[in-house]
Amino acid sequence: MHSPRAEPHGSRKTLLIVDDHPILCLGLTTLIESEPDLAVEAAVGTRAAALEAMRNGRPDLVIIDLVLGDEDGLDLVKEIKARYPKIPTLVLSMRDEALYAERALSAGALGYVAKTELDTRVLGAIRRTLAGEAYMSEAVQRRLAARYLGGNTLQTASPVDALSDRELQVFWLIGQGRPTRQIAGSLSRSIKTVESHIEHIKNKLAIQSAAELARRATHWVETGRVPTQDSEMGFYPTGHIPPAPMTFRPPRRRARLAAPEEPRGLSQSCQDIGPQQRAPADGS
Amino acid sequence: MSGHRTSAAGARRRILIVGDHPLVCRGLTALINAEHDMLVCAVGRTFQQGLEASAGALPDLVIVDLSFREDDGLAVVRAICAIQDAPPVLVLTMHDASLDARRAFAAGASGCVAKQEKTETLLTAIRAVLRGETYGAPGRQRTRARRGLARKANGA
Repeated sequence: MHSPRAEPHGSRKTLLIVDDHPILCLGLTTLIESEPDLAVEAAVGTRAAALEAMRNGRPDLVIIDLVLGDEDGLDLVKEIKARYPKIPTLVLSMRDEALYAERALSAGALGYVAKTELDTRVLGAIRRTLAGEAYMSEAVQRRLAARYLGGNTLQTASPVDALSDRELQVFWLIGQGRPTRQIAGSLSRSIKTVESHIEHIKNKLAIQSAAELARRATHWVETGRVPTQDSEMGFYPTGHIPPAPMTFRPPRRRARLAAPEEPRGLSQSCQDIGPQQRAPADGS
Repeated sequence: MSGHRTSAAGARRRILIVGDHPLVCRGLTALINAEHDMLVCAVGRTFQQGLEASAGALPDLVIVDLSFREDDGLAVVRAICAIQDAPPVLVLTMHDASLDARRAFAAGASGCVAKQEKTETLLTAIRAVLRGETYGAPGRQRTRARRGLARKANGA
């Protein structure tokens, strides 16, 4: 993907890129290599290749895409967090920020930046996370701050928020048109396990049939919009408020966010939220 | 104006990139400029810029990234193809969905390739369209599979 560097990196910070879009890897590599203080150690496209690269070299930062073929980048974030707690990860994703930024940070990422951001923002995110500071967009900061303050009034939560990371991954794979058997293969889980994930998804999203599940998941994948039971898909009249079970299971991350050792002012909270979340994983 | 695309043998073919995704544009530019037979003559970040450059930058090929955030990528394709003596358009899609390909070809594109393809595949697609061929027309098998899925999803 990139030409091996003849000279040692010297004082340059080295980065590992994990992204299954070769053209994006190339763009990112070109961008990073144009900076005098940054270098790309390797650019890989799979979880296995990333872990291999981590074993062979110790990058100062790992940049991870959330979609790695059928693999979930969140899993890789968690794995790196567990194996190399000192190496920061920055998630660079096309996925809906409102839905995935918090998940990424909860999984142990130090930063989240949208792939479509301008070069300066991407470089800014890289430098911030290299310095050990959390990075997220202002929209995500506001969202987290609102949550921290106890209310969720600023943002209407999406029903998909109630899905666990694994359920969301299954939902996404269904939207990609993958049959259950293949999903089980991708996740290295039994078909029974995947079927039980599917049942949970259907319950949480109040979906009645497999057909509706496929339709909504496909809609989500193709439009990038989280499917809600609104007029967008024509199931319900506009303004219809979906019936139960829309109650939200309080996400685990919320507990951690809401219970710092001592109350902190809002001015600090955005900066501090990241590190707090990355407190040692307490068996979750 | 006419005949500007009949470049002399050995000359590098001129490629215009239209897309608002900086990393993708940068990657494509690096990929194309590393080849001896092609070069990027301009990058249009918006619908308007893309349209102006299609007429003004004398490209031999226009690559349109379909995933515009604000503009409609297919509208860009249609607008470019409507230009008199328009250069061929190669569309870059997000997914390998043949649905996108179908729409892209309907909008006038000559080629369609998924963004997650290997760089060699992207170059193959670029060269095919530069030769005046089509690339990535919706495959029968995949189309049928998608149709089946859609039918199933519609409860039919």
